[in-house]
Amino acid sequence: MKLLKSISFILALPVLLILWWVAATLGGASFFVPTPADLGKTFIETWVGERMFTDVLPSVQRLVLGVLGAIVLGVLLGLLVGMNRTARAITEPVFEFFRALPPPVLIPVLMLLVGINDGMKIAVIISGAIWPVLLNTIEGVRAIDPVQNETSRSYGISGLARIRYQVLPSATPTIMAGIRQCLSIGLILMVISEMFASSSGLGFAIVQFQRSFAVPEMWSGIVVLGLIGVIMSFIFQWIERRVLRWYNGLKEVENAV
Amino acid sequence: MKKRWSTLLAGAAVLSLGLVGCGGGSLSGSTESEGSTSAAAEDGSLTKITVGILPIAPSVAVQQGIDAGTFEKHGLDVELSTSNAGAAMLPAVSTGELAIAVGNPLSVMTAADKGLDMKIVTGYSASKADGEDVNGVVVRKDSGIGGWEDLAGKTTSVNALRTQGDLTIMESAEMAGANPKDLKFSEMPFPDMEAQLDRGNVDAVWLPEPFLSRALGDKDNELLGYPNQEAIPGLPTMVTFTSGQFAEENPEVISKWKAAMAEVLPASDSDPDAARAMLPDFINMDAKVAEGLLMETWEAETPIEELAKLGDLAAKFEFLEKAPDMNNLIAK
Repeated sequence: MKLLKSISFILALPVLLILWWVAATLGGASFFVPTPADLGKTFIETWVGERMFTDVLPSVQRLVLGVLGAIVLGVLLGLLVGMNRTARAITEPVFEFFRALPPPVLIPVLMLLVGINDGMKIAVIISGAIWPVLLNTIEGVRAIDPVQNETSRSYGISGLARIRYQVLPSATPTIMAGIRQCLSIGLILMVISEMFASSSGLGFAIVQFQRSFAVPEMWSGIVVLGLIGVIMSFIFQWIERRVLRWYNGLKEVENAV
Repeated sequence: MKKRWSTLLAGAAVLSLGLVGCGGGSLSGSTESEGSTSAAAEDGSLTKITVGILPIAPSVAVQQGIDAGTFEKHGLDVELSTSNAGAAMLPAVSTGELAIAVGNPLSVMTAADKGLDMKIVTGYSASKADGEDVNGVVVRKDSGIGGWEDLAGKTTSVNALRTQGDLTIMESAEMAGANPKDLKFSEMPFPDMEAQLDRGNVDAVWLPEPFLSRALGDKDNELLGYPNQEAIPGLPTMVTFTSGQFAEENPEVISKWKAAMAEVLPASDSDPDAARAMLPDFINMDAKVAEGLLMETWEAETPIEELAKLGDLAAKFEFLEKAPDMNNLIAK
């Protein structure tokens, strides 16, 4: 019953919006806005089948690799920098500089350096998605309660053990907030990276549909993007709930007091 | 749970905004085309029309026509609107925001193929049937690519896939005996192409002027050929087009436009130096580059035969579902 309730909560608004859309397109749809029935039909025709393997899955694979790369690199680099005051002072202006560069302008440069391949597209995703993770990790590590640090030191906990059992857990709530942002940036950059020197992929397919006036197909591609975003967010929340179980528990206790 | 709700809400809000935006666009568009109808009905005064152009060298002829007063002489007050992408111009024409636009005939055919009511009004510009052409395919000298058939299995860069570039190159390769399905294409902006060819990331690049001359200035590059001249000599590169609705409601605007273009385009074509001199101001082209630029042929008469060939070719390579019905595509 509880499950049923939560499912109906999730579906209520989309169903309402779709009904509204049906009503709005009843009087004959314009060329640029297909009816829901058309879109549904086109969606299945376009994406179920060959395109799933030539466009969607390779894109999703690049997205996953790019996002994972950004998370791993961001956390590692963030730990290194965050734990050292000098490193923080030295790197801060440099990070601000690179962070301000929009990844799309880097694409021609990356094309020259990396070549035209999946590596280039993944590099584009990493170059944009790493920032929230990296900066949040640095901030999370920097903001650890000094009492905790002192305690670790007095008990002689140092090196990897300290990172594993004290630094990382304390910084995780902040890092998770960074990762959440990094997911949506990754999705945007996945699309953008496929708009250059590409001949397959989800982003490429959508642009191609738009250019060839295949309007329902274009909308259906946008729906695919949205669905990927929703699925990613659900997966993230599932993981977050497990990783931060102790933290949420702690909050509840604090709030109860 | 609360977070999830707000995420969903935000997503839905963005989606509905997008939908509303689109619906609104087409609505206001149709009222605007009615507005120009009433303006056209007034006799004596000038009819104001908005014409869509691309920021490329051949578009300069329209500006010359405005400057010389040729459009006014034919009763038209032409205002130019520059779009960055050809694909963006067609929806604007379809909704009536642009009365007439100057664009690529293959896009017009693609739009008509998908069910947008588009009509070609006049010819505009064409590539050269012989001699040096306005676009060509460049390869590295040491690439071992000596003829069109050698492009099989190689990657050629074009600015946009499923347009005139890959169409004419595929046809050229097929005429030379290769299977056009073996050719690979990738998209890339023209300014990036020379560097990518140099790096070996692509095997061949399709370049228009002035990029073509610049790439050929490198002694390690060579010209493979002019695909337009192989596939369809004198291929129309641009035409002027309007929506079926506008053509039906404003026949007098269409006939004025035809008469004006018949004067404007030959004038520009007979004096390419005057056109070149305008390019630095018109599209911010470097004066030196503009000076030596090879201009396309400007021709107002609708090149029905070449357009039909283009349509057949596009249908053959499945860029279009079927070859366009030329009677329907050309405004009466």
